[in-house]
Amino acid sequence: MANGPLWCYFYALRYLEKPCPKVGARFYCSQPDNNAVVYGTEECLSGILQSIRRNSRPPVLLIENSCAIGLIGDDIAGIAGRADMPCPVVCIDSGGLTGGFWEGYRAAARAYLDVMPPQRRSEVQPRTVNLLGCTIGYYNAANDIRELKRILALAGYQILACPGAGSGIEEITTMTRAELNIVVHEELGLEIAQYLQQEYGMPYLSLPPPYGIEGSLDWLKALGQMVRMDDRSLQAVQREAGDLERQMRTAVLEMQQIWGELCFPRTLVAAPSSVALGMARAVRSEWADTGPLTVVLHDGRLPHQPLDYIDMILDGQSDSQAVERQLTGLAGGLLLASCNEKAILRQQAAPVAVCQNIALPVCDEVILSDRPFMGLRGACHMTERLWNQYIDFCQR
Amino acid sequence: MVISKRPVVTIKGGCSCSMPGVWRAVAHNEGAVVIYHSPKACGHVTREMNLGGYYRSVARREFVPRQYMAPLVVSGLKEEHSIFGGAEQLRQCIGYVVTRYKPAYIVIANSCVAGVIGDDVQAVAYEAGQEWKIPVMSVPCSGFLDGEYYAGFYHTGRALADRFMFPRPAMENTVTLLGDRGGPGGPDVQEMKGLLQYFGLKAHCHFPGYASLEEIQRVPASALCVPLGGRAEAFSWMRRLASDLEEMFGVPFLDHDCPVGWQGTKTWLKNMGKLLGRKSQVLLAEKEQEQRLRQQVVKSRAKIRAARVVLCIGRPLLHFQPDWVFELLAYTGVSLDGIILLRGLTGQQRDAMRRELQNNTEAPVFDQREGAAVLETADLVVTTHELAEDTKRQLFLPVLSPVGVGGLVLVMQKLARLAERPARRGGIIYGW
Repeated sequence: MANGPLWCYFYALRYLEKPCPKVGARFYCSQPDNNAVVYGTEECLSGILQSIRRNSRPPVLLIENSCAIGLIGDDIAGIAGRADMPCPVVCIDSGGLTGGFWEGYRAAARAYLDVMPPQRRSEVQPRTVNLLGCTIGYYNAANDIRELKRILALAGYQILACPGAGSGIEEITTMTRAELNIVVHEELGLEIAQYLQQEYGMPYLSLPPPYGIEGSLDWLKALGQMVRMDDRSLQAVQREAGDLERQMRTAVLEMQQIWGELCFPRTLVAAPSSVALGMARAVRSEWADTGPLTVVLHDGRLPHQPLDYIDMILDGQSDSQAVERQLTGLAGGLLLASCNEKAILRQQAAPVAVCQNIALPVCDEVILSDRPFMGLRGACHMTERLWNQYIDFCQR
Repeated sequence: MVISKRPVVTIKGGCSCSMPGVWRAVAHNEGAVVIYHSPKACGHVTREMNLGGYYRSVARREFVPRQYMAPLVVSGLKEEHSIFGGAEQLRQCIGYVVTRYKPAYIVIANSCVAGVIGDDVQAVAYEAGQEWKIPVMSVPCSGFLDGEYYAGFYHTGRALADRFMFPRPAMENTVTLLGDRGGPGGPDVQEMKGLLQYFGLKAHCHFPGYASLEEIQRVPASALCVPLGGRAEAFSWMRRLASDLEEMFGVPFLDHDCPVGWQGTKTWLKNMGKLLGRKSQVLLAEKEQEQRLRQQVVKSRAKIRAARVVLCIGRPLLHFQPDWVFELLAYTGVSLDGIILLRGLTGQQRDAMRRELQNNTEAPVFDQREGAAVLETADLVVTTHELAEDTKRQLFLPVLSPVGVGGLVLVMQKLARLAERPARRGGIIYGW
């Protein structure tokens, strides 16, 4: 339940409905008015709580305070307690004062784990992992998560839980049985991994997500080293990677003879930090030849050390002028970003060669297939997209 | 059972925020910069809203490259400002905006957070204006508190009028259009301009949006102001702005909302003719517009008339006046088998809508639960909310009523297209 105004609720609902079309049936709004701001939101909240109690009986209820309501200082947990809800209630102050999507995700995860702690870690199942920091709130994320699970299964791992991307209460409660936590999106999952390590002694591995064929193999190798997995476990993955590489090489070389190399004077990658850094690495090492490569991190979470495959890193939260300058200078280049960056480019009438959506918001593309960006199938998919757009650009 | 695809939320009070209204009011005014005295997230919401608008304009070939877009800067209120206040943060933000953008003027929109903290934004704006020697205006709304979208829009218009307008001699046959409706290039405003032409009137300003400083200063020289609302709430605010301008500069205004439906268009034309003392033009306009409508009715009627239609309503009267829909259905010759009031309406809203429906139709009115049978047999559903029955062919009614005969014709064409679809295909057509 959003304990806040309807306008903010509608915005969140629209965002959530895209990856999760039925979310409206389990997302409520308390609609506080001016009086509630003065006298508290208990009256507004109690009405909705009673309605939830009567009609939906959820296994857990999460109440999120919006910005202004968070300032009033209502005892939300107390109000929920008085409402005698037949389920655990998780209360979060994660309005816009705290930050954006990423801060909200982390705050919700911590609050959830505090109220609904997983089981103590008594037994560990070998070759089992959890995926942390996943969300279906990223672009094409459901397909990416499916591909991650597929390549992990191909390499002999079993996934116990993937909180934030479909895991239910039971899976999260028993996730402590896993041998290792894998942080997929560091900006979302690192704090949870650290918390689980501290409280439950669970080791974790945090790497940029696996983009590209080499990127995917490296990611799996690093994972294998961490859990002391036999190198032979990668045989099936390597076989598939080899087949894909041969298939891609044949197709691409034929096009290369006609259209030349996939080569860009400049590249700009803008997305949440894990996606942007991972994609930038794959662009530089596998997907294209490029001049200076700039990365814009939507969440502003800068890496601790410089990365040799990136020429410039900008904070998407505070470097808006620099981002605009970079976009203006991108003529003929490669843009992997969201529609926000594309719209800036278009408004300035700066034509780029290839524009590929990799982050939300996206207003100009329908995705109905199950093709990911991550993993082996993702590498194939991205190569196909970049090449086809490049060929289209050459014909414009 | 009739199930709305999206939850039909019972709207207890307001459902919008004043800040996007402030921004929209000057979004395309050259030299303007808008500051949201708010957390970053509020700017993000507006930017996404604007992004959708941008792509819609691209899709409709209405996009104007390099059109001025007022920078939207957020002061970035954080938790600590709830203790020490956010005034200093706002001062710094204004300083940054002045240095970075060198604006002709700044408009500050307050968030609900600023309202709760109690920052004296008006005082900060006044001091900043003195310090930087440029107009800095604030609007007396705080996010969703003290007014909604149109309140923000109105107060911004009023602030611009107070600041930049001064009395000027009237220029004959000139009109200022008050409101937004997609701006000067949009089909709604084009439709209005077409109607104004019958009276020899020319829209020389669009206010408060899409206006340079020079155009804003030209508003008091208008012979007439014409409000562009589109629904009760919007019109009441635009009427208030028109009334203010009349009081301040003696510019009369047409006290009528946008022409909606054919009867509404005729009334609008009559009122305009009466106001201007040009009744002969009314006859010509009526004749031509009726002919335009009849041509489309003949084309559409053949495709739609056999259809059995159900109307589903989930918006309260404040946001949806249904009379033009009945007119549209009557022209197309369909049988309206029933009207279903969706669950989101409160008891009071439901009663008010029932009374309104009684004035317009004899079709039976059902509550959501009772309406299943009539929906089952319907060929077409005309609705304010998407229904989960994907196999039903649905026309989603526009939030703002369509303007003039052109608007009515567009919706009629869409309904005809929907009727031509194979029934088993179902699907939704958006009526805008």
